[in-house]
Amino acid sequence: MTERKEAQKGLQSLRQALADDIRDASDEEILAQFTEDVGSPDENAARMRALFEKTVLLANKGRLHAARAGAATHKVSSADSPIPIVEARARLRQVLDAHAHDKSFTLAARKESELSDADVVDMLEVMRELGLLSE
Amino acid sequence: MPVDDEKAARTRDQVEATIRAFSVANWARLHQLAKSFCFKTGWGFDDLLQEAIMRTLQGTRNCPSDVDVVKHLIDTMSSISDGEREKAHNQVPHTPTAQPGVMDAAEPASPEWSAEEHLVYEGGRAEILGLFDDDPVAQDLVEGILAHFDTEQLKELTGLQGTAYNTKRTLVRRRLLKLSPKGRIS
Repeated sequence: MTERKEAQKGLQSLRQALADDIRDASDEEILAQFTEDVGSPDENAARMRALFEKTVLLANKGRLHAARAGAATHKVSSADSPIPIVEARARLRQVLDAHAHDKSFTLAARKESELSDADVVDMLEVMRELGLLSE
Repeated sequence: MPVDDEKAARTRDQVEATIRAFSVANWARLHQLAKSFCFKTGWGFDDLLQEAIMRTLQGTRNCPSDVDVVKHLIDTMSSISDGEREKAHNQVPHTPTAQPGVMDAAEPASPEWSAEEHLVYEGGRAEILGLFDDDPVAQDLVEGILAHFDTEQLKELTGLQGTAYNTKRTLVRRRLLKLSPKGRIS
């Protein structure tokens, strides 16, 4: 095994040991340590649940988009978008920049340049529904 | 009969309902695990957890019906973070470690161990071990884990058994988690 692989394997072992210990700890232990090291587990749960509901909404929009795309009998070009795609991308970038520290967005969602035109339009639609986009 | 197929993966509705019923402890555990996995990925722990949930809901990472959803999310976060670390590694420019004259400067850098990586690794290792300067036994434990010792070997190395060993593992875990914002365990 090369030196690099050996080193990586060692760190992987450490990460795995850490993860195994957290996974195997009792609920009581996890809650007590969380309270001591991080803060209120209840507040964490509330924040995580809110994040989950937003994720569900985003996933729903993705599913809806896929269903629409499947039902369409012809391909919709970017020129058929409600607004020109360049404008849509600029608008999306603007909103993402304004919420750069908002943990509600997945990292993937924050990378506008890696989204397809359809995803951009879809994302704008979701943001409008979430009230993040003014008309 | 498609019975086996039907049992193969939890439906999206089942996953959603299960996650909605997660306890406060489940969320705390996932939070801590996400933190442990996001080391050196460039991702925040929230991002990692959300991505794991998103992939599960979208069906790109199906949750087998016989696998606990928490465990599935843990495995998915682990897989995503491994991929991201590898991606991050591949984006780092690698400086060849060969002696001058041995390798042509125009030759592509080795995908293996570079001088820079070696320094980063040694620095990270020293920082991790430095967390336990006040506790030589904990330091031995971490070094043993880095050297892939199994549990019995670790117990022998540290001279700890039972509760004393578990307590030391807990101490190591808590200190390592505090390192996570810097992402040193790369």
